[in-house]
Amino acid sequence: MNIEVHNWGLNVGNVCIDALSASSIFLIGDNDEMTLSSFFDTPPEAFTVGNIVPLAP
Amino acid sequence: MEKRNVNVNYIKVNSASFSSILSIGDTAYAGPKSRGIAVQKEGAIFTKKDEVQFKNYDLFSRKATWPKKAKHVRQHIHHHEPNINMEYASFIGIGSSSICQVGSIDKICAEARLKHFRILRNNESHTKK
Repeated sequence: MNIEVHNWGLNVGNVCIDALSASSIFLIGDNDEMTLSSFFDTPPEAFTVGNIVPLAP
Repeated sequence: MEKRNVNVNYIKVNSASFSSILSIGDTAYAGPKSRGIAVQKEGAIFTKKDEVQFKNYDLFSRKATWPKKAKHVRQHIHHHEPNINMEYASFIGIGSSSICQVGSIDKICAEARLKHFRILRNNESHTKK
């Protein structure tokens, strides 16, 4: 696959960000390769009544 | 690949916590990893019983399925303007191994694993109210 990129100019005024969390990246600049993976788990039984019973490891 | 320069006139960061990075300059490789368990409990009296261990949940030991490497990509990038200009950047919070980079990063391989718990009080307490 051939890809040709012509960057003519990049000027940004203001950026206001509340929060950056969980391995996220705010990049002002160039990048070659980015691979991201995330696991998010809120199972239906995430809300338990009474205390937490740890699952058998 | 030839990188551009970055000019940021004004940057304001309120807090950079939990192994997060505010980096000015170029980086070759960045591999942030973060694991978290969030326990939300009604009544908010946390005892020893509420302790949760990463090893108890297989979410944190499961293998990540990374995308396959792209076949050979011939990439030609022409920077006609050598600079990236930014006037103002403000951040309130940078947390849990996040990166705020002024400059370029060649390779990034980031992973985040998060598990949530919401503990409500026992049923009888609901009926009492």
